[in-house]
Amino acid sequence: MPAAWSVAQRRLHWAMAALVFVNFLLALVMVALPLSALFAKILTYQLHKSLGLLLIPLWVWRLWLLARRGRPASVALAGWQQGAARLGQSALYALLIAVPVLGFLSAAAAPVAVETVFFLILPVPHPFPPDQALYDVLRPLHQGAAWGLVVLALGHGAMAIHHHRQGLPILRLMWRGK
Amino acid sequence: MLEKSKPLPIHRRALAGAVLPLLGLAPTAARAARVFRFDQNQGRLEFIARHLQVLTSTGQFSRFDCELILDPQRPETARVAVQVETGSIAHAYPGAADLLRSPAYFDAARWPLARFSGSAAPGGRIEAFDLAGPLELRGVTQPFILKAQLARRRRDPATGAEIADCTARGEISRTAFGMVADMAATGDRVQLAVSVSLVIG
Repeated sequence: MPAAWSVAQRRLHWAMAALVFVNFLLALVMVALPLSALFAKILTYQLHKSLGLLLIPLWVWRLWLLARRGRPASVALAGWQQGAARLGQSALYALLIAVPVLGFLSAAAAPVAVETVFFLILPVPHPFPPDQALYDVLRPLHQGAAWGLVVLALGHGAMAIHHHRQGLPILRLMWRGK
Repeated sequence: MLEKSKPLPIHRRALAGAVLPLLGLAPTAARAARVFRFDQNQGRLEFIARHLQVLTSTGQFSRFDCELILDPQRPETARVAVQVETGSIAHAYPGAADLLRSPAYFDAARWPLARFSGSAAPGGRIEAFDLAGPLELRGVTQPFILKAQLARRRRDPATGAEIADCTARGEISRTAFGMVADMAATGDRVQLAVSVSLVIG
């Protein structure tokens, strides 16, 4: 068991956190933009899709690092807190992959049939043609999972700050590595 | 959303009518030409726009009439006349149809109809022939070419009739018709595409 998170693990943790929150805000903006701001609307949609797709390889990399290097020994938390933390982290990992995958699939199923072009450079083929019935299922799932991810991530952050104020090194280990 | 229907059971008629052939006056070509009439119930009329050079979006007109006079053996004699209700725009993106009907785009309240009438150019083959003529849209008339083809000719196993998929595509410059909104987001070239299945024999 390592004494601390590796540099790569810490950077990935913060990079993914930043991506999730930026992309969530971007989603709120892109939906709210009127069609009269068509240029900005198209750009924000494509940026949202691109950042979401970026999360997928980062998630794989992060899990690979976790499997290869493991996690530092747990700090002294009460048993139920350890259990709750583990449950919350597992849910976060699940949502971190579910949200972008559901988003990509709902983009594929969307009847409007606009392509996904990664950062407006690399076309990403959709796995199936537009399908209204499928879209009606996938879109709310993506939206609900995204809200769940953000709420859970905020709770995760709040707990880290709470433990930090109690003098436990959880936040410091992830921020500074020691 | 329109659904593509079964091949159109065209009411066929000789171009020169019923009397001239009986008198032996109708030319061979005219005897073989047929009139195919179809609308949104049998065919599909779409427009495809490009955005930021890399994306496309597709909308359609849900009310139009098309008359195609075509002799599959002599495509160079083909003629077409299309009339489109510009207010019948349908688009999957919420609000897009209203925007496209507005004065900035098709201005459907002021110009409710668009029309195209074209004739085939010599030298065409049934696999690929051009229909050229004036396109009237938003009160502006511009030359327009539809590149048509008759493909996937096959026999209907139920009726034994010969069916073919007819598609025609052309490209307009939207600014040439006075549609200059959102140039940063949407390209100038917009494709128009008609598709229908025809019973040709």
